[in-house]
Amino acid sequence: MTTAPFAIGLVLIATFIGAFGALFLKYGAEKMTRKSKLSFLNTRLLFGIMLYVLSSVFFLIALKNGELSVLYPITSLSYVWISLLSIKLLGEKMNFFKWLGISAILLGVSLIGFGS
Amino acid sequence: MNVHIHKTHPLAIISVMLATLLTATGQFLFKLGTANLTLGWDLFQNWYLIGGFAIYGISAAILVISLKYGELSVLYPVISLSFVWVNIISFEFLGEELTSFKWAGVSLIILGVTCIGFGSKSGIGDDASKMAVSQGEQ
Repeated sequence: MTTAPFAIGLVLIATFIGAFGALFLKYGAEKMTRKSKLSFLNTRLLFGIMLYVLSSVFFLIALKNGELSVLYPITSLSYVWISLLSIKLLGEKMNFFKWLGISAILLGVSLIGFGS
Repeated sequence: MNVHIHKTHPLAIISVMLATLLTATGQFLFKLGTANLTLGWDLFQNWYLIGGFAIYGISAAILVISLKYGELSVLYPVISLSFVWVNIISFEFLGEELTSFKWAGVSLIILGVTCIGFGSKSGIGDDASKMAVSQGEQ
């Protein structure tokens, strides 16, 4: 089986949507309080879940049309997007160890893809 | 600067790890449940699938609650541990081959998550975290 170019495009889009999904899960999580039991039903969290599901659907469609060895390395780009979004929108700071960790995970996920 | 949490509680990291273990268990149950899948009312008696969904839900809830107590740039990469569990479970219980590539990948992910844990600011003890912040700004 070869990987269709549109499958690569789909996975790329899935990583973007998934990264924003995680961002909104974080926004939503911060809206939760112990006082209000229903505060987990906030729009940000629900939007995050929706984006996450959407990215999974994109990924599953891509998987049907491509190989893991090609698609897994692309998937791991989501860790890079998350890091960038955390810096830009959450004011978090990266450091040498965090970038080293992201690089190792990127390589690790890619190797698992190659080995499948 | 803003209201977001800039330190990560070690318990948040541990609970995300637990969530990834549950996710992998859920995927394992899905795999068992889809082995002889028939569409129709039987789906509601497919306890593997139902169990898989339930565990997935619990794992997602743990994950979201954990996100409240730490940095996204620390907790999100920890989710990559699910690759590690899935490979171990597939090897142990499904008899799938653990190739040298997979071994290397699993090892690198563990190493990567360790590095990120090392690079994260601990949320234990306000004095310690204040010190970490001021050191970071120097």
